[in-house]
Amino acid sequence: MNNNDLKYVGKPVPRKDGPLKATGGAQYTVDISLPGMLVGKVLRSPYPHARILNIDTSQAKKLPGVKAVVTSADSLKVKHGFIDTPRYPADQYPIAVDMVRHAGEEIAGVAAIDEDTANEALSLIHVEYERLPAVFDPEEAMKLDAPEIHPNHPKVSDPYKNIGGKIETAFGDIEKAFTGSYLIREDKFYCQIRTHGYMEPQATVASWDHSSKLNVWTSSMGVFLKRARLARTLGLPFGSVRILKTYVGGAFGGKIDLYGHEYIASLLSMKCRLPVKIVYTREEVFKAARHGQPLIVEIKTGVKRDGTILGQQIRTINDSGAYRGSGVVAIFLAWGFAMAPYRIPSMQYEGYSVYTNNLVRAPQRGHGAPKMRFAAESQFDVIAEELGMDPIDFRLKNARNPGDMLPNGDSVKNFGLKECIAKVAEKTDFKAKYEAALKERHSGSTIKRGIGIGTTAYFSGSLVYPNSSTVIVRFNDDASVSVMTGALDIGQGCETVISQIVAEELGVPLNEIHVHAADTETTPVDIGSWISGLTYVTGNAAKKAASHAMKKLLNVAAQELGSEVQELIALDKTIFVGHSPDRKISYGQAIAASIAKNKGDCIIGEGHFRTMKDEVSPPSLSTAKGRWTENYSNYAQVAEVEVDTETGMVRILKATTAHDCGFPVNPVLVEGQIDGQVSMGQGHILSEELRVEDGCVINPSFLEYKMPCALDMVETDYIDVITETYDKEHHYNTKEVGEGYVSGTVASVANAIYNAIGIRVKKTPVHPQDIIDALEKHEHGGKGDLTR
Amino acid sequence: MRLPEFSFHEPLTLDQAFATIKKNNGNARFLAGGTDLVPLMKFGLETPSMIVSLKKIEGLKGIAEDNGYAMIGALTTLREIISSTVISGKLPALSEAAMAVAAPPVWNVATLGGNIRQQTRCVYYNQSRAWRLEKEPCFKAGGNVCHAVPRGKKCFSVYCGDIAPALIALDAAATISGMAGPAEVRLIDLFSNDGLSPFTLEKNTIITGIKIPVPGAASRSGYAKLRVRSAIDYPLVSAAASVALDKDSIITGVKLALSAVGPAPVAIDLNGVLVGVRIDTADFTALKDVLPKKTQIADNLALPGSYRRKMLSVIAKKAIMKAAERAAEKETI
Ligand SMILES: Cc1cc2nc3c(=O)[nH]c(=O)nc-3n(C[C@H](O)[C@H](O)[C@H](O)COP(=O)(O)OP(=O)(O)OC[C@H]3O[C@@H](n4cnc5c(N)ncnc54)[C@H](O)[C@@H]3O)c2cc1C
Ligand code: SF4
Repeated sequence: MNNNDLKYVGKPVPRKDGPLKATGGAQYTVDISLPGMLVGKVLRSPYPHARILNIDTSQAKKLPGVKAVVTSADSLKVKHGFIDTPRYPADQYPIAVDMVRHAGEEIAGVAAIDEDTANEALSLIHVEYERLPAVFDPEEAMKLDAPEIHPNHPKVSDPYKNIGGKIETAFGDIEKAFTGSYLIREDKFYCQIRTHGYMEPQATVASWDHSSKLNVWTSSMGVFLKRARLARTLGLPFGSVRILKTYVGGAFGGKIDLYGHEYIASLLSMKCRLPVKIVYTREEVFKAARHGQPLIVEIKTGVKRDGTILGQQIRTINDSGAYRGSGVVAIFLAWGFAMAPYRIPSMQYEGYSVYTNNLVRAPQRGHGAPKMRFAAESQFDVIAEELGMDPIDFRLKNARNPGDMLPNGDSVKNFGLKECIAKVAEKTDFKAKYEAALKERHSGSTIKRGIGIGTTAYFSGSLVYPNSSTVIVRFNDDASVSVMTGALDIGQGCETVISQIVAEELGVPLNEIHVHAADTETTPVDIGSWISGLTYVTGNAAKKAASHAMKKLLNVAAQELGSEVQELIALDKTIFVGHSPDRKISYGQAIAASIAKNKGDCIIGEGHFRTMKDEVSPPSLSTAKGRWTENYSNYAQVAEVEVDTETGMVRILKATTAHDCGFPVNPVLVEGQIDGQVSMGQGHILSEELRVEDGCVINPSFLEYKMPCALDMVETDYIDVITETYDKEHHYNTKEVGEGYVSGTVASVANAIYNAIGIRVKKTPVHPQDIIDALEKHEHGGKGDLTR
Repeated sequence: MRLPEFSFHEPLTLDQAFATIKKNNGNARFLAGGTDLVPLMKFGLETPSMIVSLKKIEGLKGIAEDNGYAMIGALTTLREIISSTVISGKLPALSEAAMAVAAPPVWNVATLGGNIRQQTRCVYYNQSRAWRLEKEPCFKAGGNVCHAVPRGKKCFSVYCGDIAPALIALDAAATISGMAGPAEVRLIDLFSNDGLSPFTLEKNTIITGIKIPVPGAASRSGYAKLRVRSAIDYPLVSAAASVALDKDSIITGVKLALSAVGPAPVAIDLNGVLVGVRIDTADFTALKDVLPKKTQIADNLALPGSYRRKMLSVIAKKAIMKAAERAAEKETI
C-alpha cells in the first residue's frame, strides 16, 4: 500500500482524550472518591542519615478520628528496588526499618477522617533518632574516609566506598587509538539535580475490599510494574492486587517504580479496611519523591588530523542517592548514548553509581542522554575548533551510516542522522550564522548572538519487565470496536495512537474505536509508558491484534459471499468482492454470520509483541554486553541564542529540530513531544536546579524552582527525516520520540553560548552569575571554562 | 497545605473596621487580594486570630486625576492600574512595575495597597512549617540565628515589592488611616528598613490610597527588573527612575529607587551625578561604586548576593535609560 492511501496512521489526528481533559471530565487519582475514604499522610525523616531508636505512635493512635497508624513494625520488611537482579538485589524498604538514609524517607503513615486530623496525628508521633554523619557529594562519598551509607557492592574491588554499582566495557584498542591520534582532548562535565516537573503530584487511593482484594488507583507510568512491586512487598498474590486506570498528569520518568506512599496507603487500608487516599503536597514532591540523575562525565577523545574519531575513554560517576534506584541503569544507558550516534572505533567506558544521603533517583526523560550528549557534543565542538573544522563538517564526518553495526550487535538500520545534520544546518543557515557570531564577538554590542548544534541517537524500547505487550481487539455487534490494552496514557497520547493503528487495519472510523486501558485485572499485560517503546511494542501488538480480527472477518465474508479472501476489499465497514462490487456484506452482517456459523466466534483478535524476539534477556548492567534495541531514533537540533553580557541572562531564540522517528504514526504528537522536550532542555541548561543543603531541598516550590513558564517558551521548527514507511504485511518501524530531544537542546544551547561569547560551558545549569564571572575572568586576560 | 483557624470580618466602612478590631481585641490582619497574606498563613508564618477584609469598604478603589495629582485607591487591582491610560501615559514606571509583578492571573486580584505592604522575603523563611523544622528557627521566625548570613546579628530578609520603588521614584505619598485618624506619609517613610518588622505603620493602620504628583511633559519614568523567568518571579534586583530633560536632552534631574536590595526599598541620592549631561553621553560608571554601598544584599534569594550586587548598576542604568528615552520622545507605553 502506498503511504498516501493511509487513512488514520501518519495523520495529525487530534488527541482522543483532549476534550475530556479540557472540560475537566478526566478523572485523575485526586478526583477519586469512595465511600468512607480516609485521608492518609506520611511522616518523613527530617534528617539525611540517622538510626531510628524508637517510634512512639501511642498518642497518635489515641487521637479521635485516627483510624490507623503504620510503621515498619506493621510491614513484612520486604525490600524493593528499581533493579532487582542477582547482581543488584533490591536495597530499599518501602517504609524505613531502623535507619533513614535521606531526608524525606518514609517512617510512618496515618489514616484519619480528614486532613487536619491526619496532620495532627503526624505531629503526635514521636521518633527518637541518633544522627549519623552524612555525605552528599558523590566524589566525596567515594573516598575511603566517607561515612558508609551501604557497604560497597561485593563485586567491586576498587579502593572506593559507597559504590552501589559499576559498569565496565570496552571495544577496539584504546591504547593504539590514542597513540595514533593527532589531537587528544580531556574534559569533565557536571550536571545538576533536576526534578521531573509533572503537574499532577504523586497520588494514590488504596482500597482493601471485602473479598480481600487490594484495589489501587495511582498516578503512574504503567500498572503492571506497580502491581508486581506492591504484591511482592505486601506478600500478596498478584491476583489479589488490582491496579486500575486513572488519568495521569505527566510523569517524565518520575512515577515508574514503587513509591513509599503507595505501599503505605495499601498497608493503612488493609489495616483499617477502609479506602485511603494519599496526595502529595508539591513540597513533598520536591523534598521526598525521586528526582533525576546528576551525572559527572569525564571524557577523553582522540582524533586524526582530518577529524576522524579514533577512540574515546569515558568515566561517569552518578550520585544515585540513598538507595540504588535507577542509578546503575543511568550509567549503563550513558554508555549507549555515547556509542550509538557516531562511529567510535575503540572505546573504554567505566561508570560508577555511588550512594549518597541525597534523595533517591528515578529515570528522567532521556535517562542519561542529556548529560552524555552535553559532554560529548561540547567536546566535539572544542575538537573541531582546534582542528579548524566547523561543527557541522566534524559531525558529518563521524556520524554513523545506515546499516552500521554497533559493538553490542545492534544495527542502526535506516539511520537518518547524517541527513538530519545536513538538513538542519541548511535550514538554519548554520555556517553563515556561526561565522557571523565569531566576528560579532568583539563588537561593542552588549547582546551577543550564537548558534550551536547537538545530536542524539536513542533506543526505541528494550527488554524490561514485563518485557512485552498484548492487545485484544474485539468487534461489537454494531461493528464498533473495543480495544483492550494494558497501556497507560500518561499524557503522551498512546490511546490515540493505538486507536489510529487499529482503525487503519480495520477500516473503522476513530470515533468507533473504544479503548479500555490500564487495568491489571481486565486488560492484557503491557510494557509500560517508559523505556520509549510503547508505540513500537504496544503499537505493533495492536496492529497484530487488529489484523488478526480482520482476517477472521474477511474469512467469514469470503464464506458468505462465496469468494476468495484475496478478492475482497473492505471499505466503510462493508466488504465487497473486488471484481463484482454488488456482492457485498456489511461488517455487522459478517459478525452476525460468524456468531451463527463459526461456533459463536464473535471475532476477537489478539496480538503480542516483544522487541528483539531472539534475545533471551536484557543487556548486562555490568558489562553492557547484549542487544539494546531494534530501532535507533536520531536527531540533530540547532539552537540560536542571545546572551546579555551585562546581566549574563541567556535567551534561546529558536530551536530547530531535524528528526528521524521512523514512521510517524501521529505527526502532531511527534511535534508536541519535541516542544515539550525543548522546554525541558531549556530548563536543564539554563535555570532548573534542586538546591540542596545538607541533604534537604531548600527550594521546594515552582516559585523557587525555576522551571520555564509559558512566557519563556522557545520558538520551535521541525524538519522531518522520514526513514520508514507503512507496510501492511510487516510490523511498524516506529522510533522513539519522547526522550532524546532533551539532549539536543542542552548540547546545542551550550555550544551556541560558546559561539556567542567564547566561553565553554562545562556544567549545567548555566546561571547568569556563571556567565558574568566567566566573562570577567576573560576580560582580565584569563581563559577558563564555565564550570563548577 | 491548610489554613489555620481565624474569624472573618467584612466591614463596610473604615470606622467599622477599627471598631471590629477593638471589640474583638484580636490579632488582626487586613485582607486585600490575599496573594501575599494567604501563602504566609498556609506556611504558618502569619497566624492572625481575625481577618478583616477591606474589599467591601467604600472609597478605597479607583484611579482619578485631580489637581495635578494622580489619586489611586489602595484596593485598586494591579490589572486596573495596568489598564489605565493615565498611568501608562504619564506614570509609565508604575504601569511597568505593576506588569512586572508575578503573572497575569495574580494581577486580577492583587491590590496596590497589598503590594506595598507585602512582607519581606527570604528563601530560609518563606517555607512551610515542616521545612522550617529541618533547621533552627531564624531571627525572623523568633529564633537566634540567621541562615542567610551565618554570623549575622540581624535579619536581612528582602523587600521584594515591585511597585514601591516606582512610587518612590515618582515622589508618591500614601494616605493612611488608623485608630488615631487619617494622615499622609511619604512613601519611603512607610519602611523601617528592619527585616523583622519592615513597616513603620502603627498596628492596624490602613493604607487608603496613593497620591502621585503628575509630572510635566519633560519628565518621564521607567522600571527595570532582574528575574530568571519572564513571569512569576519576584525581583532579584529592580530599579525605578524618573528623569527630567531639558529641550536639548540634557538631564536636569534623576530620581532613582531600588527594590530587592535589602529589607526596604532604597531611594538613591545621586548627588548630582548624571545631571547636566546629555543622556547619550552620560557615564554610568559612578553607579557601580555608589549603589552597592546603599544596599544590604545577602544570599537569600534565588541567585547569589554577589551577583545581585553586580547587577545593581546594570539594572539602574536600564531604568534610567528607559525613563530618559521616554522623556526625550515624550513617549507613552
Ligand atoms: C506567585 C506569586 C508571585 C509574586 N510575585 C510578585 C512580584 O514579582 N512582585 C511583587 O511585588 N509581588 C509579587 N507577589 C506578591 C503579591 O502577590 C503582590 O505583591 C500583591 O500585590 C499583594 O497584594 P494583595 O492585595 O494580594 O495583598 P494581600 O495579601 O491581601 O496583603 C498583603 C499584606 O498587606 C496588608 N494589606 C493589604 N492591603 C492593605 C491596606 N490597604 N492597608 C494596610 N495593609 C494592607 C495585608 O494585611 C497583608 O499583610 C507575588 C505573589 C505570588 C503568589
Ligand atoms: S535573613 Fe536570616 S533572619 Fe532574616 S529571614 Fe532570612 S534567615 Fe531568617
